[in-house]
Amino acid sequence: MMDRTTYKFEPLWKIRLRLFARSFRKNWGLFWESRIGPLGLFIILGFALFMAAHPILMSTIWDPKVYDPIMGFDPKLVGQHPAPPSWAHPLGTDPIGRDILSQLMWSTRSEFALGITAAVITVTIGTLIGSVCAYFGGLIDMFFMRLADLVMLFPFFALLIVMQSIIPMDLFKLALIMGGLGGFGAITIVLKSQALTVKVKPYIEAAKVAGGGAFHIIRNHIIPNILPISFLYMMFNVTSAIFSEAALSFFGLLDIRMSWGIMLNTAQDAGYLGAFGYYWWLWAPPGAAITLLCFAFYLVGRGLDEIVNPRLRKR
Amino acid sequence: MRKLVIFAVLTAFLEAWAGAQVLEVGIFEDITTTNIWARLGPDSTVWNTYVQGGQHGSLYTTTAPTWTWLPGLAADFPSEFVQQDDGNWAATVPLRQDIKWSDGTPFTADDVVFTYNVLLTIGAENLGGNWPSYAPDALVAVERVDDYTVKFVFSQKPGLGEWNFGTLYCPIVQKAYWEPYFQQAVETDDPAGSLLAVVPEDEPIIGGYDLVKWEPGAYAQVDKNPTYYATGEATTFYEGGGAVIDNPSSGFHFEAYGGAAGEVMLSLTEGPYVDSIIYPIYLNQDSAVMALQNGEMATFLNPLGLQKGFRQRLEATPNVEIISNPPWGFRYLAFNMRREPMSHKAFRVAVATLIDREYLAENVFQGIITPMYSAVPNSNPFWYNPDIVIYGQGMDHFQRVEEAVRVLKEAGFSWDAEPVVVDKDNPRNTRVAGKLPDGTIVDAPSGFKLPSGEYCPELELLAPSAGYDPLRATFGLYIEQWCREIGLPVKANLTGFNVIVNKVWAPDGFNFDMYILGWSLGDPSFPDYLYYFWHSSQDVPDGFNTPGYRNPEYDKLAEDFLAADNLETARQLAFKMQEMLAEDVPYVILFDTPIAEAYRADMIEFPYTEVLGGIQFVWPLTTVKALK
Amino acid sequence: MLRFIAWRLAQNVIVFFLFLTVVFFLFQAMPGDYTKQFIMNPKIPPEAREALAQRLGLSGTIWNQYIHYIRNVFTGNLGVSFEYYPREVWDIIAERLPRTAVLFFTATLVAFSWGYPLGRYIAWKRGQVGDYVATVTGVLFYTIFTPLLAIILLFVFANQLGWFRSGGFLSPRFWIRAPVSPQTVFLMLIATVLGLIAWWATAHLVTRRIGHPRPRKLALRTLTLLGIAAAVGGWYASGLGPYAGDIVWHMVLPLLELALISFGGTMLLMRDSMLEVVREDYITTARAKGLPDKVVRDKHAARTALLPVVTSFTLSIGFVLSGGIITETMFSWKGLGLTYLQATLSQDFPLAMGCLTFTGILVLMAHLVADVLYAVLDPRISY
Repeated sequence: MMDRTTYKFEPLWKIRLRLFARSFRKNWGLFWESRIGPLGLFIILGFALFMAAHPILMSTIWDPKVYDPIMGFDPKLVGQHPAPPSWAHPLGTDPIGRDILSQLMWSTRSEFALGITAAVITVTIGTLIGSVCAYFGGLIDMFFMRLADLVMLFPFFALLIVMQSIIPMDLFKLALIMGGLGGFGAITIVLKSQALTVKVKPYIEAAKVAGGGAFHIIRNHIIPNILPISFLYMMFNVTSAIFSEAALSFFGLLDIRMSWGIMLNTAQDAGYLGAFGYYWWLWAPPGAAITLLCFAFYLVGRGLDEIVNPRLRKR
Repeated sequence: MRKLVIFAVLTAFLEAWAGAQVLEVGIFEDITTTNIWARLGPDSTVWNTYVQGGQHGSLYTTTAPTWTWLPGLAADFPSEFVQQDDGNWAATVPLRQDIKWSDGTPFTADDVVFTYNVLLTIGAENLGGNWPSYAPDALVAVERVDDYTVKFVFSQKPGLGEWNFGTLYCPIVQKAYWEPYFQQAVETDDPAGSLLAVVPEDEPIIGGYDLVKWEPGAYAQVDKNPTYYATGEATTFYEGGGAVIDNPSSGFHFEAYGGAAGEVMLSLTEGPYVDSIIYPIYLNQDSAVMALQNGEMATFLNPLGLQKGFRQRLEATPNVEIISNPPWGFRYLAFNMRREPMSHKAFRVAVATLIDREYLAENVFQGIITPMYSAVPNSNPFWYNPDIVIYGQGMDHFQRVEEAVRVLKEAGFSWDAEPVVVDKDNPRNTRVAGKLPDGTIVDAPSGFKLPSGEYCPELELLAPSAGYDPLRATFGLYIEQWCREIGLPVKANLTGFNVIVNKVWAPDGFNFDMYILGWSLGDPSFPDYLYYFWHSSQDVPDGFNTPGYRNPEYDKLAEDFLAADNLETARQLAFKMQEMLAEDVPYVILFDTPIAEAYRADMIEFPYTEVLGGIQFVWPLTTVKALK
Repeated sequence: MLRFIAWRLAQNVIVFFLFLTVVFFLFQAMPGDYTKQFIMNPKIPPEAREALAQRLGLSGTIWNQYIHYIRNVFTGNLGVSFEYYPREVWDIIAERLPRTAVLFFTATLVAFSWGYPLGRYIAWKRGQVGDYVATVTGVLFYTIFTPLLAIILLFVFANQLGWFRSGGFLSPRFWIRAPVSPQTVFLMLIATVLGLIAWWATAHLVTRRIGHPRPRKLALRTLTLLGIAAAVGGWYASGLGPYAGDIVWHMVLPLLELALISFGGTMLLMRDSMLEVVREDYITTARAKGLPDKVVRDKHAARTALLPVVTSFTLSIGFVLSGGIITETMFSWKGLGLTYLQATLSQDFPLAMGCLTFTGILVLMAHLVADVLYAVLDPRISY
């Protein structure tokens, strides 16, 4: 407990800020100590820089006619596409003469957007439903738990395959659908059980006694307390969203013009995927990028796990 | 170590059967049925045909690679049609007398009559698939004249399309085997359904190879028919267009089209030469290509041909030969002529003018596609009309732009800012800009207006997504770019195949502005699709005239074409139809890809390798030889 | 306990009914229908497509079709496939399932037998270099883009080294004169694997009665070896050994792929679960009693930590379909996953719905089993 008298004249927000800073420092320390978390974070930062460099390059040294990720085409190399890496094309060109590096950088943005949108939707829905279910219990709880059971009966990827034939999917729709499906699934169960442990804490009882409404208690007491877990699950969800998009694109099931999965699909379709040693620049960059970004988000998730779940900590 | 043991065991097994010649020929999808009614009906897939096409015979066939129309089970050409007293038209077909089913019974007129009667009794429409084309509406009866003569009766005189290239192509089944099933079927509520549901076992066949084993998901195996009637039979084609069939064992002889005139072009001697052919199923091209490189199979059948990357990989493999043949099909852009502005010929001509197929073919696709212009692919010289209008031919990009703008303006289209080509003297900076009525030059053209003065609505161009077909997707994107460059509000929607099909053939009529799809065409010896794709009678929901092309003049030509009773007349008509289509552009024929195929030259030998559509299209089963 | 199971069962039946409804309307919502497949052939007239639609039950109101479908499922009839008309969906699933099952079970077994001890080990070595290396490797395998791993495996082992075939589940030429169908061999292989597991479990239970650790271990190992020897001998005597060998040979690469991926998952899960258990009071007590680390780790901590792993294994049954799709496509392994993918894409609704429904039943049963397992195994949970 803080000694109020000492800080009498300090406004509340400053205290909050300081508290936040302190807990952030402590948690950052724990996160740093996990070693794998920072590794993931560095990789993600690397991708962010990579993404940011694309518009800069396009408006300076790259001629859009040649380097456009979708419509670009290098007329100097006609007959040689897919051309191996060179100074002009550090990662070579694809079978119809487009620059691989440019495609790779351009797609990074959509992968981030997709992964994060889907994860935010999932976690928002999951957190809300989880805390509402835990607080009210009864019929509401039963309804959403059975709904979660229902969603879990569907194999996720298989369900996405059906969905894409019902609704032609671009990235945004895919993110919405993945987010929604995820949100009503297993995550509500996890977050609800977490919220249940919060609900029995004495301060909830105190808040009730003090006349706090259900909405107030859920918003101010339950949600903040399960938020760390939500955040943790968000990281894992980013991984799964990026992976699903790549796999669907790889099978040629999405209506998007360019992504890492599409790059692999293009290579496969033109027959270069199995020709390993010879055309590595067609498959290795997008393949590695998908794997690395999924890997990085997962590592961050595990790093966070050590903060949230004290039992996993070293000592 | 384990690997060694397995290898040793495998080798031992293989040696035990070294006496029999076996070919392995990869396919990409499983067969779906062994029932011929289903195989040519609801289950008609190319894979079923590859594996089981060699079991049955038809009265007449076209013979690759020359696509000559010749007797199969018939002994001679059919007689001319004569009108009977009841007003019907009749012709007779003589049958060969040297043919036996694999159970030893002779092939007679009863089998032929039975087969057609199944179709007439049950209704070919109910069986679906290819059956309706073997029993057109006008076919009234098929009767036995004697053991080896059959009479066909039509309510009106059929043309080549219905007769030579329709009815007479029907595969013949054995009456003795199928009659009991047929009798059972007609007694049920759904005769077609029960016939399709039969799972035949030990059905006697007449062709060179019989399906003996089907391991679903793994492979199908056909064994040669030791009693095949045509074994040793030579079909010889001559420079003068003549063809001669000679069977040394039965003495059967037939010649037509001038017989043995001029040099011998090609002589095919029927096998079957290989004891067993196994069709293992590969579910992706990568693994099939690896298997070919490793010598696990002799070749594989792939209707899409080999993509460039696969070809490059296989070219480097010893003993693997690559062949490339022109395709029999085309990919096209269709306009919905029921809507504005696609209903204006000028608009269609303008878009056609803008599409620079040569630029895409030579630069972007670097020779993996062949530009096409006519409704009949130029790979079929007999039917192809080389002398048609090609909009924008020989023009460079900016000439095309100016020409398209000129055509549109002439027809009354206008812009708020009209497209003009600026900086022509400086090739590096030449571009299309907009010109306001007061002469000011602005960045881009805008405000495209219909002749009525209204603004043109946004037009959706449906094209397959990059995942389904990167070639058509790229074409779609370029067409979008070229149209937008002169201010035409075209928006490409790259989407799945099913989505396009369901919009184009929407339940309540055609619901699209423009779309890009492809056709693979049927029998190259008679392009009857010229009727189906553009005749006004097909402009109905679920019909084939998707653009809604209604031209009475064309309709007349198309009807005459189907009814023509000789090839020369039909050809003249087809030429005129091609000219008209090129002029009116309901379709812009875009391109197709040559069919590249690979095989192990140390394992398999083909009677010929130059053939329209490639080896996969003709699959010369009974003349293929194994070298190991 | 029984009341609990009955209550769960009742709930599951309702959820399953909802599941069927969702499946049905999902496929109804797809644009177009199967007869559109034939629109590409101008020689098939619209009447023929109409006749086909009637035969396939595509005409009639949605409501009638729905009632028809639900009734069929509850009477054990999944309908007739469009693409393989007139084959029954059950028949096709029964044909494809063993191929997927053998792959899935063996892969899980392999992954488990490596992931479990390794996870246990690195949890104990928390914070040391080995832990970090193993964790990062585990995460990498767990998150690697599956098609990429498949291509790498195919390229290295099939293309470059030439050790394995590049696709399919048997060498056709070898089977030409085989006395039995591969289906039989598949079923026998599954029986062998399951039999061996059962044998091993029994042996484990029996030898537990032996007090002394050393003879106990010896007996267990002898019995295990005996079981394996009996299986190999049995196959040899049946004369089908080479055929089983051929299938196993083809199975290696897809198996390796699935095993590597689930190995990562199992190991990480075991590690985390172990770390949680290590903090429990009774482990501290065991350590305080001075028991050797190894005994505490293997006997006390690991057994409880196993619980989430077993549960996750049970729950991952749905993976049979989902995870199978990519692997089976990459390795031309025509199992349930690939069948589902193709059926969905070609709009063969009964087959696709059949695959989903079947998987739904499996997952539902797995959930029930998991609930019961938890109730039975974990003394901390009571109902």
